[in-house]
Amino acid sequence: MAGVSIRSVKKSYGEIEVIHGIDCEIADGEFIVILGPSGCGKSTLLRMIAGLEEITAGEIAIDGRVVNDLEPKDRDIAMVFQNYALYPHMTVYDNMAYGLRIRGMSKAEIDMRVKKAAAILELDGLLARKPRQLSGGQRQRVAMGRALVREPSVFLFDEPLSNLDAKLRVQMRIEIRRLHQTLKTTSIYVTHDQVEAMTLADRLIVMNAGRAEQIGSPMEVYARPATTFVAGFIGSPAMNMLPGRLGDDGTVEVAGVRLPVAAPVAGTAGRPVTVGMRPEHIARADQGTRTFDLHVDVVETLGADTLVHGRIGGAGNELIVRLPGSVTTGPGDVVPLAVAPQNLHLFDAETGARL
Amino acid sequence: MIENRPWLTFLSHAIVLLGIVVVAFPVYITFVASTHDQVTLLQAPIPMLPGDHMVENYRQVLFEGVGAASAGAPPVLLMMFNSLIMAVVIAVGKIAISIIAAYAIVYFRFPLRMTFFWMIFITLMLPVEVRILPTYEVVANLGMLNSYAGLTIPLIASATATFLFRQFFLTVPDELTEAARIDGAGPLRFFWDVLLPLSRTSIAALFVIQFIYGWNQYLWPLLITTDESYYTVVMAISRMMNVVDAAASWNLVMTCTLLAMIPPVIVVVLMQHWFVKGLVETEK
Ligand SMILES: Nc1ncnc2c1ncn2[C@@H]1O[C@H](COP(=O)(O)OP(=O)(O)OP(=O)(O)O)[C@@H](O)[C@H]1O
Ligand SMILES: [Mg+2]
Repeated sequence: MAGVSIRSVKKSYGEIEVIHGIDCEIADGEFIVILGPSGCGKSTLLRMIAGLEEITAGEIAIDGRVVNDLEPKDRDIAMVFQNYALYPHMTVYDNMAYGLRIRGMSKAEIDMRVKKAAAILELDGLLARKPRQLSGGQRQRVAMGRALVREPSVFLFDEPLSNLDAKLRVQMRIEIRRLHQTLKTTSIYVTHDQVEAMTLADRLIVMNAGRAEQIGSPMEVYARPATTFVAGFIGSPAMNMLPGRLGDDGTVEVAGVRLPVAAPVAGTAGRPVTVGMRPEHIARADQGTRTFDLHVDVVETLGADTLVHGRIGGAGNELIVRLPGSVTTGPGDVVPLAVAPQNLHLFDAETGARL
Repeated sequence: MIENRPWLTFLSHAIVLLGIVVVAFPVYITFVASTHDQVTLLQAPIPMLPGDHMVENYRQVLFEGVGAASAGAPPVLLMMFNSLIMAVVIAVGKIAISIIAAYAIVYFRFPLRMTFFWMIFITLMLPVEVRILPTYEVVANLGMLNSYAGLTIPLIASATATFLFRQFFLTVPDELTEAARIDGAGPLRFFWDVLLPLSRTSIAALFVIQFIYGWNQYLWPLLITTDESYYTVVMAISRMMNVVDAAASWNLVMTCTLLAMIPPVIVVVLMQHWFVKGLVETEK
């Protein structure tokens, strides 16, 4: 087991820089999820840790040892690939045993480890099969088994569940979590699925265009997004973002409505800001406590909740609100709403950074 | 396709049967001819039914050669052995060399990699016949005339096989290579443990093609063998037909022809089994 240090790591392909310097200290036993939209450089970062991609600048250390120039096999890592990458001509047993054989481990030890991993992953009855005789979920488990038997100090996962159907994905997600709770091996997991990220991670690295926008626990990232990108990326439906201006008395003005802010923000009155409100943090109010009115356009009933789409204060300022239960309202109605001051997020209008 | 049109069924079957007859008839005639004696074959209606000289013809051809009219060719058994050596060495050699060449070109980065690839590729356009005189010169200077080395080595280099293996290697997912790297397999282990087993299908297919190519070589053995103990069966057949003073012993020529057909057929039949098996097994 070991921690991983990523220090000012950059990656260029020829002239084009795709990772612009990432720093992160990953503690021993931590489950880190790298989350970001397609093409932001998640896989590239993971593959640099694995040793499959050269590190252009910066340093990666595993267990205190700089591994920049080490071959993947010498880094004490194991990786699970998106397409499983099982050896098609080998049985499940051989797929798992292959790496151990290369390492010159004794037959008895190999057999013990493979059997143990197979038991954990419920692959017992499948050891003699070839990969093509397995379902997607079973292949995925074999791929995990291959990583498991190595007993590495770091597990790397590159979108391991994205080829599975929704139900299996949920099931495997829980299995991975359970596995980590028993083994407590440092794990780095790449995904673009925010639910996977939120449920698995001890800490998240939210990436955008080759930069780490925020590194923090899932709750931190959800409750205090560092940038408008993170705010919009985490949470579903996405956070509402409206243009606004700072008022002079600890308020912010959005679409002609004055909203109180929990902590006063530095800056002169009139400074343009972006105001963020999560749909689930906006509540229905009665006339007395209301802060603004929503002019309803569309109502989506989800069963447990209702999504109400509408506008506040005229055209342009569109808003989505998530209200619990079923709500009797329809297009054209006006619904009084309130949002607590601590649930308002303010971002700089230009840089998108949290204020 | 589910259709129920009796006429169409009839027609398609008729065409298939016709095709079979067109292909099989000459083989049948060859067989019939190999069972008669020389005199019968030289008379006007060619017999359509097998005669009673089969055992005699085959025994003579296999163990004694075609006789006085054979222009000095040795027993066919020896020539078939020569052909077999030539075909097997060429097929195995071509596969071995080209799979290694393709491995280098696809998996290693070295200076002038693409130049080498294109050089190999361009030789695709040069069949044996075009370079046969310079090759002859080289082989003669190396003292390889009248030897198995001379018969096989110049034909081993193969752009086609290299190209086919390259195309196959390009379809092997990168992730598989990376998984092997993480498992700690070096280049040679990866080649041996992963790439080679995955290539079984291509190897089987190429073996069939190259075996037949080597077996059917005519011009090259004709050029470089003067010692009859290195004659191959395909070149010998044509020599048998070109006898000067006597009438060709067609019965023996046909016997010889039929024998020459057998090994390629065996290879195709055996490999076909492998071929299909390989196809099913390595499919993802
Ligand atoms: N070999 C390469 N040469 C040039 N650019 C590359 C190469 N590999 C990746 N890139 C670029 O690097 C960027 C990051 O790629 P990466 O594969 O890390 O994305 P990702 O975040 O994993 O995306 P996804 O979620 O789609 O897998 C992309 O813009 C991609 O175009
Ligand atoms: Mg990726």
